[in-house]
Amino acid sequence: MTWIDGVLAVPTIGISINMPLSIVLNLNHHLSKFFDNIAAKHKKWKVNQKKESACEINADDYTYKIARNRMSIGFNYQVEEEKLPGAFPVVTFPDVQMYSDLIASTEAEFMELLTIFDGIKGIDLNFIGIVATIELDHDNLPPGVSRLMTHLSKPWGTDLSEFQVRLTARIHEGEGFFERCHHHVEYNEDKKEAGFKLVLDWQRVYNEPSSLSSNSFRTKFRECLDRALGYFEKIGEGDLIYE
Amino acid sequence: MSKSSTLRTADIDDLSTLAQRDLLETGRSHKELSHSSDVITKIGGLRLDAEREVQEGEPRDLTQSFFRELPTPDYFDRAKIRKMSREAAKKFSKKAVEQLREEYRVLALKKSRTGLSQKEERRFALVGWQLDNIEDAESGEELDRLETIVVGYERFSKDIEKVMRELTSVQLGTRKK
Repeated sequence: MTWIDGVLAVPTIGISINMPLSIVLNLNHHLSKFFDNIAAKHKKWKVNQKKESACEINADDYTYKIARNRMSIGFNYQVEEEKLPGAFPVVTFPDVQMYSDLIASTEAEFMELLTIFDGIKGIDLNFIGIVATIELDHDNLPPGVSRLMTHLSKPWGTDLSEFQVRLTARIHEGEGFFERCHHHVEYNEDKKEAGFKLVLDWQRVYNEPSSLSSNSFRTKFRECLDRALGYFEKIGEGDLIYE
Repeated sequence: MSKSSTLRTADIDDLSTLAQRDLLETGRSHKELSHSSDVITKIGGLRLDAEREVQEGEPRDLTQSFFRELPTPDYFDRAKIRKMSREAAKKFSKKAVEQLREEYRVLALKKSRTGLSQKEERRFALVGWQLDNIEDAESGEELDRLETIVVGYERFSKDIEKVMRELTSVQLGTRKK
C-alpha cells in the first residue's frame, strides 16, 4: 500500500539491454509468437515498425517498445470522448485501478515478453526501471511534494507559477549496482486545468551487464519494486534532506 | 543515383538475408562493426542503416529515462484527474483503510504525549493526507455537487439584487419626472 495507490497514477516497466545484431535483424521472427499472443488477448492492437530493429505495439491500455537497447511496457488509461451533434461530448471513464494493481499486471505483461527471449543467448541486462507517472491536483499535493516545490521555489521567496523540471539523483550505492531516480515535475498556473504532473523514474543500474532471462529477471525485479516503492513513499512524505 | 536508392523490396529481402548471414559468419561485436567499412560496400543500403544505428548508441546505454519514450496522458484535465483519483482512492480495501487509521491514531497519540521525531511528523502528515483523500473519495463528489448548487444560488441571488436595484432606480426616475 502506497500513497500513489490513492491518486491517478500509471506504471511503466523498462530495461536497458544490449541486443546483438544477429538477434536484432531477426527481431520480427522472435516476436511473431508474441504478436499472436497480443492479438489473442487484446481487443484493439496495432504494431508500428519504423525500422527493422525496433517496434512499438499499442494494445488496449498498454504500449510495448522493443528495440536493440531498450524494452519497456507502459500503461495508459484510454478516456474515450464521444462527440454528439448538438450536445456535449459524452466521456467514458475507464475503470481506474490502484498503482499497485497496475504494476502487478504490467509486470505480468513484461514477463510474457521476456519469455520470448528465453533460450536466446547474448542479450545483456544493464538496468531496470520502474516508473510512476502521477497526475495530481495542484491544490491537493501530498505533503512531501509540496515540500519539494517549496524548496525549489526558495531562491525567489514566492510560489513558482510555471515549471518543467527534471532532476536525476543517485540515491543509493549497492554492491555491484547503484540506484537513481529521474524526477520530472511539470505545472503551469496559466493552464491550471491541466493538473500537476509528477513522474518518478526509479532505476537500478548494474555495474556489470548480466545475461537476461525471465527467471533471473523476476527475482531482480521484485527486489527493485520494493526499493522503488520505498523511494516513492519517501517522496510522498518529504523524507529527504531539505535543511 | 546511389545503389541503395534503386533497390526493390525483393532486393531488400535478399540483402536482409545476406546481412544476417554475413553477421553470423563474421561474428563481430557491435563495437567492431561500427569501425568496419568493408561490409558497407558489400551489402549496401540495409547495412548502412545497421551501421548508423550502432554508431549512434554507446555499447552500454545507461543514461536515459523511460518516461520520455512513452506517451503521457496529457489529455487529463483537472476535473478528470480529480474524478479518477477519487475512483482510485475508493479501491482501498477496508483492511488497508483500517491500517492507515490505526497508524494515524498511534502517531496522533504519541504526538500529544511525547511529541514526534521529524521522520514521524512527515509520516503523520502523509497518512493524514491519504485519509483525507479516502474520505473525499467517499463524499467529495456529493459535496462538489452541493457546492455547485450553492454557487448557482449565490449567483442567482446577486442577479436578483441587481435587477431590484435597476427597477428601483427606474421607479425613482419616473417619480422625479
